[in-house]
Amino acid sequence: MSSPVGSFLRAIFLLHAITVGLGCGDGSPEKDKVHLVFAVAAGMSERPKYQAAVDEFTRENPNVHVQILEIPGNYYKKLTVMIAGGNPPDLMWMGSGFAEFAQRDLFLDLGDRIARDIDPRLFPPQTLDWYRFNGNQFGIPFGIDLYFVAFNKSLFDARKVAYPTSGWNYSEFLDKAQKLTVDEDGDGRIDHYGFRGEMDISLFAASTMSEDGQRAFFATPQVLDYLQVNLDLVQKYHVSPPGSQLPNLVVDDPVSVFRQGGAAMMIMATWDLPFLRERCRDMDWDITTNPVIRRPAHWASSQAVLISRTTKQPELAWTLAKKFLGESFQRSMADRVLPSNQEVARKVVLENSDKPHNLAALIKATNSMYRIPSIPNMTEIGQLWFNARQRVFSGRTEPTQAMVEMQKQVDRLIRDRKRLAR
Amino acid sequence: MGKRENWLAAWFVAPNAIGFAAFTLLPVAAALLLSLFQWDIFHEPRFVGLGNFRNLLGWVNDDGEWRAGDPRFWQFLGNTFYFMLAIPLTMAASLVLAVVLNQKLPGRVFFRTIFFLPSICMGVGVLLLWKFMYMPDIGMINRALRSLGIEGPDWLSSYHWAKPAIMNVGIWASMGGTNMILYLAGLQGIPPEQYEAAEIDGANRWQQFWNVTIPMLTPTTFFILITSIIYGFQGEFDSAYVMTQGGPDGSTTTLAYYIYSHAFEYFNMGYAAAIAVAMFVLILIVTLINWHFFGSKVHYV
Amino acid sequence: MSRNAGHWLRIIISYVFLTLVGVTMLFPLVWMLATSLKAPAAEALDLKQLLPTEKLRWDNYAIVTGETSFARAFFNSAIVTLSITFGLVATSSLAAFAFARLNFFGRDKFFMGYLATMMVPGVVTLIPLFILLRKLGWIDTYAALIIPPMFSAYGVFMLRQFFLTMPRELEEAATIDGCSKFGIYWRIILPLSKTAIAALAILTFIGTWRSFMWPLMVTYTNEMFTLPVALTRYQETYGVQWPYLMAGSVVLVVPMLVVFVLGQRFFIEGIQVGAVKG
Repeated sequence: MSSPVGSFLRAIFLLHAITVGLGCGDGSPEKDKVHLVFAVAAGMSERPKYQAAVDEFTRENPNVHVQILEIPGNYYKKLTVMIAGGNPPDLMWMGSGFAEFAQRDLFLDLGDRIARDIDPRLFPPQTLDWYRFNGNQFGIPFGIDLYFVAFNKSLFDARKVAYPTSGWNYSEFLDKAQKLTVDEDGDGRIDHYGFRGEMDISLFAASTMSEDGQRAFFATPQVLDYLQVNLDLVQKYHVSPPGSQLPNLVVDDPVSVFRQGGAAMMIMATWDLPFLRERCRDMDWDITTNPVIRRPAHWASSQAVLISRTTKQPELAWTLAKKFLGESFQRSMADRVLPSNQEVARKVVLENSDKPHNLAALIKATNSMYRIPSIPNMTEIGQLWFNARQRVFSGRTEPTQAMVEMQKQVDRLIRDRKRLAR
Repeated sequence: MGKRENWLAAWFVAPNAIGFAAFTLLPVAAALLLSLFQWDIFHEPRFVGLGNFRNLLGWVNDDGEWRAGDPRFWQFLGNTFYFMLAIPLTMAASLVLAVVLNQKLPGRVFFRTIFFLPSICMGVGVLLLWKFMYMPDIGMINRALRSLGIEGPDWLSSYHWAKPAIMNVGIWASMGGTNMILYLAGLQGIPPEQYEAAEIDGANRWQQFWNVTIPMLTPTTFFILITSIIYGFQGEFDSAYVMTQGGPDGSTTTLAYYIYSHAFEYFNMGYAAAIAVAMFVLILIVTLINWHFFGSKVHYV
Repeated sequence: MSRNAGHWLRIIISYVFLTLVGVTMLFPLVWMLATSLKAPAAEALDLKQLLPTEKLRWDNYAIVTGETSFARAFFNSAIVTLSITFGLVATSSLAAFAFARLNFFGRDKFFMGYLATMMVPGVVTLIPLFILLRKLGWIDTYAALIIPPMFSAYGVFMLRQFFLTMPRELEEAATIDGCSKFGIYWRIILPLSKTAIAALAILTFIGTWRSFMWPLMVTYTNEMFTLPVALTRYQETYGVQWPYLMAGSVVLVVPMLVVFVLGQRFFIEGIQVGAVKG
């Protein structure tokens, strides 16, 4: 073999030897300890919080070694691949993907343990329902994410409009939005919109699916009401820019839009709070709860740590899972997600001096939080709903026609899945 | 004689073939086989024979009306073909760039690097930047158009404009990328004597391009065409996922995206595999047609 | 050769064209650089505020590269990418030579089989391949990162097509002189294919260096992450830390640029088929 190739190969082998040597020490399981694997979807700033809770657990249970699997990006996809490989983690973070995984028996029923160890008075009543599926209870959320309205105080001051307060109704909202929609330079184009975002369906006393997911209620007056009110904001009252309720454009970076004066009021969620605080430090802003349209409601989602059904250490896993319901962890996460533990929440509000000053309203809003029931085939139905909303909010289809079609599609889907399951 | 070459060939092919068989061929075969099963990943696969294909390609009589078993499949197939219209555009662009950058201009390496940049910087970050630029009221593109007096459409939410908007990003990102490098390599392989001979015969630069460059590049063009078709059928996932999530109303969803949805969102792995099989057959047919049609036009030395 | 007006016109047009189009190509990198020097709370997506308004935050780079996992991730990426590039080019060129120049039983059908595997998307092969690696015990090891990606059919296809274009006169002459097939491969085909091999090596290096999905799927522990995977940790559950992410992305891009530029010496005219004449 000629010299350069040979030496290159030697270099590779050497590097491999070094790395194997290096790699051996890390994470190699110590033989006499119990092992738990905990998968998290945490980023750089969240990882230490989970680590702290795990460290506390390890101090109290020195015979246990917990391996934290950080899965940055594509969390559910990677989790699925791990499960397909026959290797589910003992504990895992869970969010909106819950329904699909629960439908497939991934989780351990914690009903008995919760009844035994958890004081239900500490958690808002609906909290216990979050991770219920098919009558089994698989966990309790450690954090609750709520939608709310963030508003730009300077824009309000400039137009001499009163700030919104909790309990405000639709006509007050519309009034403010109209006053805040301005065409400053008179060129016929609106320069600042009053409102940007979607008035969530929960505000319209509408439920689109039954709790068991077998019946759909799309072609109902309440749903049509929801669609029409949102459309009116754009087409009739012009307080929102066209397309501002479109699902794919709503998602990504509302804080950037907010910061550039995209709208005086915007729908945001608790997970945007850290970015609001950071990037809008030089802005005067605050938050308030959703206006009461047909009923007070706040669309919410939650985060929890659940346990795999096939874990070999259910009791230890449960002990670790309880750490996330405890004060220190919930406090550490309180900057971006509401603590589910009411006592902790109360303390956080009392001690909060940073923006948003109206944090108490949010905590109170958890009493009227609205959650989407976890139903079978949730993602597929969700995709149909996503498409239907796009059709309506982009003006391509009339609401009534779109909902009739949607109803038909969902009915068909449920029927097809039932047929397949036989 | 033949037998000796068989033995010899085995030595050449083996290092690649063994790994190929284990890590490429085997998973592909397994994936294709999965199409005969229904598998939600969490439980054991269940054999359903051609059931998935019947649902995918068949027609169903429901409530008294005939409808396609999976109308989405056909819509996404159409989308995939639409996106593949970008292939000739990108190939032409890469060729032009390669020809320009093959000249002995000072700074050509600098320019080659610049044109190569988008293909390596492509990632979620840049895609989000593009998404922001496409936003109708505050995005850069519409702002620029407004200064020229044109009111731009709602690019990513418009049924008509979403596909071209995404294609545009794809063409921009890839025209200075792989294909440009391959054309540069191909241009290197054209002996200067060919140009000299043509010039002696009185051909001007334009004629030289058509009569020397293009024919001598046919092997490269052929390779680029075949690979572009093969990958084009499976393409356009990342940008659609980040910018439009397959919308509006499925107009930017390709077959590849649909396969991903069934595999990892609906946990319908067998059905996803069935779509992959259908796509595979389609790619195979189209590739074979192109291979025979263009293969005969390739000018090998 | 006369240097007429047409010649200069052609040059000017070339430069104008290159500059105009080049500017649009440049902006993502400019954006990445500018964003990477901003304060953590600064605006990232609005191009009107492209340039940092405050003092340039060079320490963003220090923070990102100082992360304990960064050095390890960089190292992993280097090992994995170099190994794959070398392995892929070596094995593919051998196999491509066989497909292009040797006559063996079932050769073209076998080659079509190679091609066919390119027609099945990775989404569906991911899980079967993952299960296979689990059975081999390779999950979360360098083996899983390095070995499967080495065997893609693209390289074999590309080099086979290239080898087919090589003139046979040299090989015939060498065979008459008693050269073995391997000798032909080693002493004639490879040296004359420098450009194609370089192209494949560059493309493989770059493709592997920035590959994210595969390393994400087969690694568990932070110590085995490659650089793109490690950088994703700046994308939080619901939001992105732009300046750090961009600083990391710039660091990710630099080696690829270096490889590209260094590889260009194989793309300068003159190192090519001229051997036949003399």
